[in-house]
Amino acid sequence: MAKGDFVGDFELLVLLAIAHAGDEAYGLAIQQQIEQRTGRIVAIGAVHATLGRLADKGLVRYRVSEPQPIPGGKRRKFYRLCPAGVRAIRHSTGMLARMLNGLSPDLTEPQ
Amino acid sequence: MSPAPVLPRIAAALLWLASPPDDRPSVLADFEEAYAEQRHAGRGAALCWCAIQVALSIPPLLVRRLRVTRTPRTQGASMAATFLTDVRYAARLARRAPLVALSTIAAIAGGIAAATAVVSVMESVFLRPLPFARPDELVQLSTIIERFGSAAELNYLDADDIRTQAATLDGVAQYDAGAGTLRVHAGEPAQSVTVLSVDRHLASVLRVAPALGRSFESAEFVDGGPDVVMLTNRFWRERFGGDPAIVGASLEMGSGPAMIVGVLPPAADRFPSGGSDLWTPLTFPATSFLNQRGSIALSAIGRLHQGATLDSAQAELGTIARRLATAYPETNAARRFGVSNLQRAMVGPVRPMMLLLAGAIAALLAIACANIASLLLAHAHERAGEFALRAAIGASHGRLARQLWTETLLLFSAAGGLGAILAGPLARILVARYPGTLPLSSDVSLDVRVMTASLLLTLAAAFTAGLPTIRRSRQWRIGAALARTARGSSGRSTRRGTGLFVSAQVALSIVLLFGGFVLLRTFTSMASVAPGFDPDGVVTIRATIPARQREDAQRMVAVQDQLRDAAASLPGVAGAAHAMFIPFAPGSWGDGYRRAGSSDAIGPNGPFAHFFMVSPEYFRVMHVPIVRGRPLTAADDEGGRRVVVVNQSFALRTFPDRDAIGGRIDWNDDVWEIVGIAGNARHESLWDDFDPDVYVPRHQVPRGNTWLLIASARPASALVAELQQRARAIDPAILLSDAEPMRQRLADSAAPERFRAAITSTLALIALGLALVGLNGVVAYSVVTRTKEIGIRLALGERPAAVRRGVVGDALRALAGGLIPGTIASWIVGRWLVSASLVRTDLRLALAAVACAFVVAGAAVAAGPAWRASRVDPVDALRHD
Repeated sequence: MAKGDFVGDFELLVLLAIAHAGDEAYGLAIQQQIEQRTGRIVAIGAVHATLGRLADKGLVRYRVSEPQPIPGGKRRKFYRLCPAGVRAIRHSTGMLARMLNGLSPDLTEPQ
Repeated sequence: MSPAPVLPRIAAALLWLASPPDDRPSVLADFEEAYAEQRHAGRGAALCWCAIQVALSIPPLLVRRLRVTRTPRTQGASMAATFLTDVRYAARLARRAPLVALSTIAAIAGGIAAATAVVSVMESVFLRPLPFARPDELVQLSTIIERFGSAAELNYLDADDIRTQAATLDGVAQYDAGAGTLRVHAGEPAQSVTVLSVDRHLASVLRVAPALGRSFESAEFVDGGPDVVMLTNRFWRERFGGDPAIVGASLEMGSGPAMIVGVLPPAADRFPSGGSDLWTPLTFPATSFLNQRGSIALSAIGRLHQGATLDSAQAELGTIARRLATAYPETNAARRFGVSNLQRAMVGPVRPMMLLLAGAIAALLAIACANIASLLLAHAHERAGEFALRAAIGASHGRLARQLWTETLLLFSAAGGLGAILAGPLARILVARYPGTLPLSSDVSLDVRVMTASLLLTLAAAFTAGLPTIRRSRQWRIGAALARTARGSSGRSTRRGTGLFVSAQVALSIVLLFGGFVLLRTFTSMASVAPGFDPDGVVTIRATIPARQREDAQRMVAVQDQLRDAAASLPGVAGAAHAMFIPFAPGSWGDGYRRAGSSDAIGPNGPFAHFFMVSPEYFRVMHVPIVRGRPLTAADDEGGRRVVVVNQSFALRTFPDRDAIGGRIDWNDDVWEIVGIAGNARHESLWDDFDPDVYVPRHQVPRGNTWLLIASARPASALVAELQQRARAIDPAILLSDAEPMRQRLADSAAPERFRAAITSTLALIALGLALVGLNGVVAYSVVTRTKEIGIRLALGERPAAVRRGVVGDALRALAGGLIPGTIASWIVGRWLVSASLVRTDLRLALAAVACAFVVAGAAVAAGPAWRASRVDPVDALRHD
């Protein structure tokens, strides 16, 4: 188990959002996935900062797109999970599942 | 298709600065895309979203940016730990130079507090929608007559026609705000209140339902119907402590008792601008002038039908106006109607004032930032040796930059926090001191939006002030620092940098000083305008004659005369008069007339004058001179010949060819002979040209509206109390209110000018102080850092006078850099002030005066350091390091 496989709460959310977004996993799409699914306000900048950190840890990789097809269009980074990223998700969710295992349902059921 | 909405530039700039270089395009692309989506919900919502997103995004991006640019050496240390180290170090430094830290914090906190306060007021005035259902549909209706311009009022019958004919309007409602008098318990002094007379449509157009009790019923909108009132929510809470049992109780209004039938919801406090205390049903007899096509006296609002636009409503009103012009050519021929968004119409009049305030405070904040920036730069320059040493033993540029950022942000967050705390009270003071009333959409409060704005302001200020130092810090290398010490002179680039800041401060200060100067001149020249009467030693009191005394006109005038006589017999009173309207109080009677025998039309196309019904003593009490002929006398009563006194302006305009005395005019279905000519006097504004005025004997045109003018040096409050005692003998239901010296009324009419002048000149003086302190600091600093150079020059035989000239010249050069852009900007601001009619004075003279004052002040400020420079002892200087 590499040290980098430990991820924080928000990092885990970002990793899961990348998995949800599939081929369209760029900053805003990831931010919107998290906002829609969790209902909490997520700063676009926080997502980018986290993506950078995850890339440093080798959990995700990205390719830089061609500029958007509009005047002044910018290049975007599209992210994918690396094998280590997939491992980190499994590891975190597995840990969580094992911790929850055997607890009374009113503690574990979503509200 | 409209172009895609653009992310606010300040947001883009902040994000660009905070993001790691590698991530900038993708962060900005995301923000642009998301912002475009948010814009569908409206501009205000999108800006709010943007402010929150930017505020939340900057900290993680900055942290990330600093981590990315860090060298591997410090990578291991925890971010938080280094941050804490930086904070502790910064705090230690602040303790070592407490004056620098404290003055920075005070200057920035003041700036941010003022800016936040203005932002919060402006947000409630301009950005927040009116607190009524679907506020965008509410419109203000106005009447436009080519000769007189536009008035936000409609004729009562015209309004009726528009209501039935316009398909683009769901409703048209009329109202009239006026002063009333009220007494809750018998025996207590009467109180002046603002009464909104509303027609039966107003509540439904605004969509307000009573919070308590009931609305008015149809029978109450009939003339002679029961007297009822609704309390506004604010008045109910302030006057009756929010007591729900008050509904059903009776109040003593000037006209008689009135029953409280309900309490309005808080939203109604926001309409019209400044709100009102009571609503009463708008009623008038069928014979009233309000019921004739000729009069335009009632305000009007409407509600757009769903789907209708201002343009379609305007087009339809055009059609209706043409139809009415054909049907009633005598009154409606030149009449058109206008429609505008209600909120925009309400805030329109305060826009120039708010822009002025915002501009002045933004300039002051910028000056403070520039000042702090040069201070930080000089301060950091002194620490160049320390930084060079740290760089030499391995600190990366990023590490040093972070240290500087931490220090700057620490200073600014302390200042920002203090500013945010001060902003609330400051905003309340601003609203309370504002001359007139602000059309606020809600109470001024520091909500999330305002606090975000304050946070962004603080961050922007910190960036502006900190960036130059941090950019410069790249150059501090050990070699350079040692060389600097060896050479003993400040780096040219540092001097250029601080010089630029001084120029910027000077330019902005000149603009502020110029603005303050012209506004102050405008106010002082206004205060010295002669009103045409003597406002000193005259006390004004409004009297409300009960309805039963008004039924018979002769009896009513007799009551008015008795009141006047009672006032004149009070101790310390030299004389008293009564009048229907008095100068510098609301209300006037503007009317058409014609020279007898001429073919002029009486009405909107003919000559126009103001008519003042006065008792004979008016001219003596007010010291209005009778230039020729005679004043009005007690003999000019209902049985006498119809006579008037006119002012010089009237005489000149109506009888340019002959003596006006003995001339006759047609007015009010009678022929009037001019018996005297009075001096011109101002009645509404100290600025306007003298209107043609006509003074008419009260007995010949009796009206219930009564003002008493009392010639006495005694305080108004004492006079009104004593007169109320005497009035009881005449009729116990007579209510007296609005007791105020005439001088005070005059001063109140200049209140907006005084307010503008006071605010801008205060800000300008602070700006001048900051700019001069900045200049002094820069010059003194450059002298200190050049001590060795100056010493060598003196040793080589340069004369002290030449050194002094050089130092002063340096200061003046820095000044000149700001003088030219400042002068140009001042001129632009001046043109705007004139076009917004905030200023009436000679701009060129003011500009020249301000520029000269700046040069003199600059030279004076540089004199101290110049003197010290010329006294440098070469031996000491060379031993300096």
